[in-house]
Amino acid sequence: MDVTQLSLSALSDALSRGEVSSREITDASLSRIEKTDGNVHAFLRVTADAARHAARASDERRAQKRALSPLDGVPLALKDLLITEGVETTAASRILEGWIPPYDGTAVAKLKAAGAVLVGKTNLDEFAMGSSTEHSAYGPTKNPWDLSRTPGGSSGGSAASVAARQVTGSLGTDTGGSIRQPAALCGVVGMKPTYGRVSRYGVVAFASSLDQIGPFATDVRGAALLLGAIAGHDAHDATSSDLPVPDFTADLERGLSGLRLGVPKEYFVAGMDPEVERAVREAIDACQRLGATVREVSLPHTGYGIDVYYLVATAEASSNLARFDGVRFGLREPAENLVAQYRATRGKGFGDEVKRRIMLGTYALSAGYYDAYYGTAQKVRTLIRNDFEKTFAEVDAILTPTTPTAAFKLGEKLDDPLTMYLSDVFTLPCNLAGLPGLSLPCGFTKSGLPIGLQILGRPFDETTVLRVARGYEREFEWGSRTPTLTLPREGGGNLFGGVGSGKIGFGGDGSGGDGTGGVN
Amino acid sequence: MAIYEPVIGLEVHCQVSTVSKIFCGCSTAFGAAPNAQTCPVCLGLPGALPVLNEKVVEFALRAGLALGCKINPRSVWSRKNYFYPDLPKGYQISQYDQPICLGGAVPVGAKSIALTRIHMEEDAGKNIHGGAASLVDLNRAGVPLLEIVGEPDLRSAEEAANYLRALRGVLVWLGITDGNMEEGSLRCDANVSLRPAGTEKFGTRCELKNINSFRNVRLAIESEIVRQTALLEAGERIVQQTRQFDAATGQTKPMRSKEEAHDYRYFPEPDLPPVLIDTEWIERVRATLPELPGARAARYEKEHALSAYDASQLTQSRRLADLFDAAVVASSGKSAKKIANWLAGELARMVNAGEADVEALKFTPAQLAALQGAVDGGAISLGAAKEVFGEMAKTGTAPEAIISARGLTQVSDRGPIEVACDKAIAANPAEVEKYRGGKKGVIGFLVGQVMKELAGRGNPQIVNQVMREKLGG
Amino acid sequence: MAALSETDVRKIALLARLDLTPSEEQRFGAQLSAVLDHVKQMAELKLDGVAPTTHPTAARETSMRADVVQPSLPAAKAVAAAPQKSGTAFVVPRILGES
Ligand SMILES: [Mg+2]
Ligand SMILES: [Zn+2]
Repeated sequence: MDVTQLSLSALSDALSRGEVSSREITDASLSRIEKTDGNVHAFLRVTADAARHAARASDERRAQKRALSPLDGVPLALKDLLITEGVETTAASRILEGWIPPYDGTAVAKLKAAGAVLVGKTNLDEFAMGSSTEHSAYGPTKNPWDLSRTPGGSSGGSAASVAARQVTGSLGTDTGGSIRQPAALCGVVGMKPTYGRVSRYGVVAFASSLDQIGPFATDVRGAALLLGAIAGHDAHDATSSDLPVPDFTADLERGLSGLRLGVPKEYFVAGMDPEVERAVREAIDACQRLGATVREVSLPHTGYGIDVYYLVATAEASSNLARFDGVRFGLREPAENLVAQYRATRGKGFGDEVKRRIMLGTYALSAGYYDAYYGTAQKVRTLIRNDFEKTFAEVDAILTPTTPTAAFKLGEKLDDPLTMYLSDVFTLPCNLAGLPGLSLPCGFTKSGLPIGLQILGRPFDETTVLRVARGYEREFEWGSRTPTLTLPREGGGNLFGGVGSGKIGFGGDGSGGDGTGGVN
Repeated sequence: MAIYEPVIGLEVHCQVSTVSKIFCGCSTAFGAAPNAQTCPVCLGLPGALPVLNEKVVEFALRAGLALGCKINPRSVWSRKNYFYPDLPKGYQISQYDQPICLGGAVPVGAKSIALTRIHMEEDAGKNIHGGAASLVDLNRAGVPLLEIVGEPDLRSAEEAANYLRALRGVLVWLGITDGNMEEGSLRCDANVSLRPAGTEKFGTRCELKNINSFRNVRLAIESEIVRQTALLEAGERIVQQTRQFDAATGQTKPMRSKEEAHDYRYFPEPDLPPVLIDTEWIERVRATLPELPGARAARYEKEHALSAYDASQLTQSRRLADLFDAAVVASSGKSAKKIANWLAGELARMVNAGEADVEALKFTPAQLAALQGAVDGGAISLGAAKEVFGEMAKTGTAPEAIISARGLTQVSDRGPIEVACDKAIAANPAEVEKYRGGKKGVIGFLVGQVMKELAGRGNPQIVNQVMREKLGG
Repeated sequence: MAALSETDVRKIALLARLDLTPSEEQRFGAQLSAVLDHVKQMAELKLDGVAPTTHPTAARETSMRADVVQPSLPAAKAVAAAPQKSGTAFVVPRILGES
């Protein structure tokens, strides 16, 4: 059996039945990373030794029938925005290069406690600011379905690693679509839980009122298992909810009949790729055939989402990123006095997009502009929230396209931030309202690029979102298709370049793949 | 030439007495090695989040209720953004437009100084300046503070110092702070402006930062008033600025002018949802409030007929007042006035002479009541009792033990007193003659001779009585 | 277009403690102006009486912790990642004008 072609939940089942060992699938995962990551560049750092060590420990537990969870022994990857004790964490920024955190974030600690095997840290847009993973200081990640295209972002590395079957599951973060958008563009399942469902403790903060950690997986049940492992109240996060965590797998197979689904007319806009629209409409029709009632609904303030988002997110970010000052950790660019040192450190350590957003956020909060920009945005945010609240009085879940287009070319939108921002137009409102949202594959373009269907739910009703997703998935299983990873001719030489070298290819900076992942 | 009236308002930062910091579990103890009391949260490491210490809210409520503030049922955290090495996150978590307490007042003597607000916030760390570099210690970062903002109702440096003293007194009384200014538990900023006497409009103000003693509050404000007066009299304008008091020169000087005007970009702290305070919580805290010094003093005057002076002396510290109350109870309520004399008189004298510290007194209320009982019962003289009191205060030894160890018991038996009287009469025939001739005042001399004979331990009343009998009325 | 002047850009860059090259100043000025121009459409909404959403649905009231001391990091670990330190203190260039 080719274990790299199994879904996350199939792996979990195979492990629990003793058909595979964690050591076996971890080795398979590491070797697939070694073979493919020279081209995909999903990983910034692979912690092979630690992973093999964890796999051995898991196999011992399984042998003694003391498995910690369904994820015990499953290899997983973490977005490099998640803080890992003793393992370099960079947020894909130069300013954090070499930083070895002294603590684990809560989600990471929970995965470890669940027995998961953590194979490495994945690439992202610097500080999660971007929609293409091109804003990484360590080089872009490529879309496994077409290496000349972006995987989306900012959790592009986590999405691409699952699409390329380097791992069957990973964690990303979603501030304005950073899980769902790359999940759509890479043809995998990606979920942003309700704000407060998963602790943000140990996530390098981008926009505190929007950020959530969430899973990527090959399949819906895999995503549900991962979510279950990381969800729950955390004494370290005052915004984490103390609502009980249900078994997210319990309702998965209940099917669609009896569910009321809404389709917001504002999510089908001019300029949308017709292939995307057709695939999404077909998926919606399928849901109806499978027993759901579908009706058109209206979320009239959708068009303002992008304005609200780019003011709120950048304002919070401008403050969250003030701590990168070259005093306690990270890069320092020495200068003659303190202010000059701050400016030089930050000017050199941050990339373009990060600086741009800090500038915008600083401006939006500054004296004389607060009311016009930040203050207004937070009020419009209320209108957007109200739209959803009204709609969810009538429907159980909302179906939309995840993105207006399939994966775009590398470099295509890099110099036009506004157009790049517009690619998140369907995913942002969910974050502004704090709702759970999921993207799963619902077809492919003629050129073979994945298309994503987005499902939004009521606050803390991840169960229904997952049920809808699974109800659709079990009829179509688009997600079981895997990319062939055919390479553009000019780049082909690298595909197996890493084999036998003892090093794993990392693209960009070529940092080593030893057990600790540190730069030292 | 116009006569100028100073307009002064104080902003007081008070460290509240929690054992852990406001947003993390690090200790607030003073004096640890640099950065030994830090964690990801108070170091401002990426990914760390604040979680509010409930006790800080409790203390803020205590202060607000005691000072008559309006409690905000929904108070909001804000970030105050600026870059400085002692501020690890690049912002201070504070409260801005929706603080926990609004209004209120501090009684200062007969006057009442209005408060604008009280809010909760985190302290910054400490920069240690020196040589070409500065050192940063973040042990203080995240220590909980109450910022108490007073209205500009103060009119002299003296009054400002009295206000600060009164405020400190209440806060210490409430157990909110140790009030230790040397360790930085209480610091204040003073806003000072002048205006022509009799006018309403405020002049341009200067802010004096981080004043850390009562003496310096007075000196700093006085020197700033002198400086501003001189400028105005010379026809110059006051420039609004932040100034620092230099205790060495006794002058204020401008702090480094910032490269840009401050723009703190306050906005609601997204990591901390609002603090909701319901009436139940308010009532729970109100029920634990002790009687405040002013009310307590008034009660003493009324219940125990104490002088206003004694009542205010006794309510200088909660420990002292509680001691007084307990001793009165222990004496079955009979000796309130006399117990007040001990504490407001003899103890105050010892404190002023540096012989005692109210917070470190060793004796118990029952012991003080017993001492007074010994005086009332004639077991010892008042003079001897003072000696016993001094010893009790230092060692906490029971008064009976001190009296017997030092042989201070008063002689009240007629036997030895009669013997001593006879002896004095025999030895001073001339004085006896004078007395019998009508110069009754001579009895004092004769009694003195008896007391000398009895080594000062004779019961004065009985000695007088026996002597008078022997001399024949 | 809500144009951001070069002076605006420089002022914000100082406030945000960012060194920008002249070309960055120019580029960011234009790009931010485009974004600001886009957000102007919010002005057409009636917002009287609308409360701001500062925290999403889940978090209307803060949770709190008891006043209990938890172990701190060892001081050496707390300063381990510092670019410059002296003993267990962080070191920064002398802060001018303060004693
Ligand atoms: Mg303050
Ligand atoms: Zn701490």
